[in-house]
Amino acid sequence: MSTLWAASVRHLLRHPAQLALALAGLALGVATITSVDVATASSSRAFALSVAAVSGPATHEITGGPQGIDERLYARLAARFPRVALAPVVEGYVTVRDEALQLVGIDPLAEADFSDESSPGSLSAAARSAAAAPATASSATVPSAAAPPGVTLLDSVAELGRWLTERGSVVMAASTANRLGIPPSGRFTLEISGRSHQAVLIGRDSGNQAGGETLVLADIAQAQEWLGLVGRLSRIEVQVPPGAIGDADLAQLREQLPPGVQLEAAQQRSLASLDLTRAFTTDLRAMSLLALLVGLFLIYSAMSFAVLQRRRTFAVLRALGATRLDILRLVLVEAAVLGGAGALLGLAAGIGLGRGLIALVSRTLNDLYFVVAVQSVSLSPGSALEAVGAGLLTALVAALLPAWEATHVAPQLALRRSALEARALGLARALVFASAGLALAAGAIVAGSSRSLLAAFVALFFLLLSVAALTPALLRASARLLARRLRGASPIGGIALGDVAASLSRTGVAVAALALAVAAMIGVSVMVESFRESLHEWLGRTMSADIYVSAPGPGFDRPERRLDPRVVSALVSVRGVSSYNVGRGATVSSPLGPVRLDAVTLAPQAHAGVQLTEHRGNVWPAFARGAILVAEPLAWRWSLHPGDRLALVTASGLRSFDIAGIYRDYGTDGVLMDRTVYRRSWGDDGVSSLGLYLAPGVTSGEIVPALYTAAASAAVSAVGAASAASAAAAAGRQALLIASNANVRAISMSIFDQTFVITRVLDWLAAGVAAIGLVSSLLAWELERTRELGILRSLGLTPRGAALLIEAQTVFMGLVALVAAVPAGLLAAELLVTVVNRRAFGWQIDFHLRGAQLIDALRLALVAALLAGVYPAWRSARAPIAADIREE
Amino acid sequence: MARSCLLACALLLAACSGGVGPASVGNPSTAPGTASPLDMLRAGSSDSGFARVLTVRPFEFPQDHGPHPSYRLEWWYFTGHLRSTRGERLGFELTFFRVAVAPQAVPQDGADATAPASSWRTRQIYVAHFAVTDIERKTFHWTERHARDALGLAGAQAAPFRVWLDGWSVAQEGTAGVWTLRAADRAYGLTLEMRPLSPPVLNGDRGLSVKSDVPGSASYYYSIPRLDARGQLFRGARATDVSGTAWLDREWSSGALAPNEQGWDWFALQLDDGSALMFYALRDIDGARDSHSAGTWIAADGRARALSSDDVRIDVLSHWHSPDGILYPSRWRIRVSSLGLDVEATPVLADQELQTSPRYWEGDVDISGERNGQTAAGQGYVELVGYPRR
Repeated sequence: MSTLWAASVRHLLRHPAQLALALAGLALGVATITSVDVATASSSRAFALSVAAVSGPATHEITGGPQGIDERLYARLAARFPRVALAPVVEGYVTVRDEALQLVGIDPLAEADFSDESSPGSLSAAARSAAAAPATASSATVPSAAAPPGVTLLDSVAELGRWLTERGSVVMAASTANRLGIPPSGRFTLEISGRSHQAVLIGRDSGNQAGGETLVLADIAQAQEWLGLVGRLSRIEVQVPPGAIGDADLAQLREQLPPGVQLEAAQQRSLASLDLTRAFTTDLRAMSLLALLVGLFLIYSAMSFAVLQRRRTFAVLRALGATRLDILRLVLVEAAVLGGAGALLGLAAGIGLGRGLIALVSRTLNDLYFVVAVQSVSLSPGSALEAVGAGLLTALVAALLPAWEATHVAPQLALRRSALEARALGLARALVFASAGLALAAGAIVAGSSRSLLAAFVALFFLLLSVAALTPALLRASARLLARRLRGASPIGGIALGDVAASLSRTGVAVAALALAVAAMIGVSVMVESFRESLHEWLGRTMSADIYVSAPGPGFDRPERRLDPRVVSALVSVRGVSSYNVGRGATVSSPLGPVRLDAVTLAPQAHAGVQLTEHRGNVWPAFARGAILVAEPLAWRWSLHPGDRLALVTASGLRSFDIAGIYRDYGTDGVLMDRTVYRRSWGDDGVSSLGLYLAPGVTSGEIVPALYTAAASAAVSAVGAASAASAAAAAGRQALLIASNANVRAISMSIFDQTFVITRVLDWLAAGVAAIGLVSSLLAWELERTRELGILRSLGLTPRGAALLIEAQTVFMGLVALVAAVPAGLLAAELLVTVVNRRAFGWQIDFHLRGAQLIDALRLALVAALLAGVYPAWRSARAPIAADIREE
Repeated sequence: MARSCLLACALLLAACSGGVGPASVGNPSTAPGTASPLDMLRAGSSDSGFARVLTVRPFEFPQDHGPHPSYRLEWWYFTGHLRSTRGERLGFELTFFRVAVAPQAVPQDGADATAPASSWRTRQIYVAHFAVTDIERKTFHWTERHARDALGLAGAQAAPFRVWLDGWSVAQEGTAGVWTLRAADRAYGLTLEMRPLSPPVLNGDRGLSVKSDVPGSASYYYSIPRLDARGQLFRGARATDVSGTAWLDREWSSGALAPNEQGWDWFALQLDDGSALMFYALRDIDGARDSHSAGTWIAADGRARALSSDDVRIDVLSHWHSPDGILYPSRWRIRVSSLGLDVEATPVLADQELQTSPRYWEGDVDISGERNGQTAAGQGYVELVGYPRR
């Protein structure tokens, strides 16, 4: 037995490159899977933490529509439910020194009545108990209880006085203040929806509480004034005791709520918010699945080569008396050890790579959804286990098949290379049938399932496997064909190609691996490009107005992002503006989950920009009467069709809206509604954006300065300042984003590209994985062939000729891989575009193919092939001929 | 009474500390001790901008039942003794503190003149304590609440009289001269109709109660030593009819204790013969009684007589260790020789400590002893503030 293990260890040590490649393959595969998990898990966790940091020990919360809740409801409930702890919160997004932060307006007095008992695990509870301990150490002359548990930032009456009375007073974490460069008591400017406000930092928290890094705390009065939410609350936090008494309180509380106001469990909100990012995370998830696919293949090829290479050793061992089981066990243990080591390496590398991805992910989240600062990298044990398990399992399966094969032939047969090749040939033929079967199965799966994303991925997997299965036969056939043709012209070339065909057990798998990688790359890049093109066309169509005006700030649908009504009326009456669209973004609740709502008043020419994919007749009359249009992704997710109704929670309670049509939308998965209907239903008069159409002959360049002037003078006259000059400098004037159509499109495309930077990174990661796979398999083959080369060289082949021969072989294989990969890649792209995308995101995209993508694929195949040949070529050119021949 | 200042400020601290807590980035940012409310009081953290208590002023009712927002601190302090129809005895405390965190606003310089102002803007906040001593069940239960004087969340008014915080209130809801008390938390609820049995009694010099030699270290202080109280006590959802006698203490001020004063012991005794005694003993840092300690004797016929520190002798008969290591006196012999009074005050329950910040002991006591050779009995409330942790 010990001989067996010794043989195994020695083999691996004698082939460090092989060992390294197997490990690298395993590690890269696992790393790819892990990195995506890390990026998504960390940003979700950061968001959950910031929600927890804001919610504290609340068990429930009361929420309203886009306009929040009337603050008088809070006063009424506080008087009526003395047993229930209630705390009002007003929140919104602000920008400080170009960093997006969450402004949370609280009433410390109300918060003080919350007890931490009900949520001992909450952050604030932890902070309190941590603070309680040192509080006893005060001087003996004062009641030591004076430093109460949880003394935080406002630690004297004087500071509470500042908090309540000083204009602009805020508190933030010391780390945040340091990052922003704000000293204690420092004054700074805080921007909300294009308006600047003066703030002063009256308190800094020295503890680094998770989730608190993006928060700016202010008194509720201050937050209301800054956010333009005077009279409104974003939500009311509720704490009830656990058990029957609490349930009774909640039931009574619910009865007191006016229509449109809801009471829900505290965790609900973070879930709901995360739900909004669904499209984004699905996207990442899809990438992670692709990474998994490529990763698995890489692991498989790395491991199976490691075993195949030792057929001879195993045969010798068996001839020496080792049983099949011994060998099998040996291989499996080895695979487990290698697999485990590779997976762990991959896990570590994946966490590292994930860190890089996090920056990209959180930037996208900030732009589109909510403010989040990912401070800690987290990976759930579940997904770590998943990635390691996938690596380990694949390694075992990859090792098991060839090992089983190696141990089930008679030992003396296995010693003969020809037996292996004969077998490979038979296998290649069988694989052609398997390939056809897989392709049929892929088709059947797509046809037989309608919504399952998993089924779509299985079909994709089958399709790619089908290509891989076809490749060896293709390689052999084309190599033989070409070899016959070449034999007269270049005997050496004929030999080289004949070699490729004859060593199918090696070359076949290598080329299959490369074909698979190239096909996957073509599939993904064509999908991304198709998406990009579709988005581009869609933007061109949707963005029909000439000029767009909005208030700057994070988050698309934040209520505080609104244009001053005076500015709106000034802008639309500027000479040269012929007509305009008015838009208001909001998030409203529905029984199915939160819905992003775009309330619009459209100019007639904007109707054409709404690309209806499903509708009955002319939708616009119905739209004006209150029917809604649903974006494709949402319609897909909730199976909505024209003629259905969608219930939304309006200010007067639940109301059903007729669905007049489904429209194409890659921006948000929301609902389009007439703004008059929206105002009536939610009482929100705000305007988030304007789309201006210019009169014929007027250009954007001419009119933009006029628009700025109009906006400025509107604000000036409202302030009523004495001189225009000083007024222009006065704070409180709203900064606007005024952009031309082309500008907005460019911005949108850059947001898209930013989002898909992740995709590209993963794309290249997968390509890298494939290249390494090819290198590893070709290397094994070329190393085996050193003897043949030695013979050729002894017959007069120059070192340079030998190198060229090897490179020619690898390039040929690269080209064969490409030939197999191109149709397969296009099929995969079609599957990704029409099936996977539809099922994952609900939207339809048009197939777009550019020559550049195929050239990319060609480049990948050739570069990988050339690289794979470099080392063997270099080696065989340098090795003494005698040594090469003797080695065998 | 100085206790208003001290307590209110301390409570305020508790308020704000808890305050940023839940929502917070929270952690202690300063060393313990530097934030002591007592230190703050000693520093006299500027009563500038507030009205100061320097001279005797005329009291007018009902106006003076209402708030005096130009002073920094004020409180409405109800304590009482109840008996249920089944004979169970109970003590209760419901206190409202008003604290001005800053002097009334001067008109702003117009920075945000065009922006509408939030209704939450205020400089007045309220803190309330509700405590029940359930003697039969040997439990003491308390709850603390905070709210700002905004949106009607908390406040006070003279006519019709009302002081409230969230759902807790004492208010004239119908008939003049009848105040309805309402308070409830997760364990207890109390609804009482209270009728003052005497006009307000002015303590100190015609209501001017001087706490030290520092100018402004004084308060305006009156009491209603007896209110008839009847109504219902709720234990969870179960109601019990109760009746008894309550005491109201009212005080407002802007000043602080003198630097050498550490705390006080306050006694409010209601004797069965209809007379009543209020006395506060100010303690200096060295443990000795401060000479500014004082009290009021109210005879059964309602006539009041001021008592000086020398008039009243108090001996501590035993002590109680709180779970947190504070040593409180726990039984007293109180003698006023000029009145022929010699009684013992014994807590009905040793633990009647409110674990607010700072902690203080405010409890129901039984009175027994003699007056002028006759047996004397009664009930009372005692408040112990400023005892250090050991």
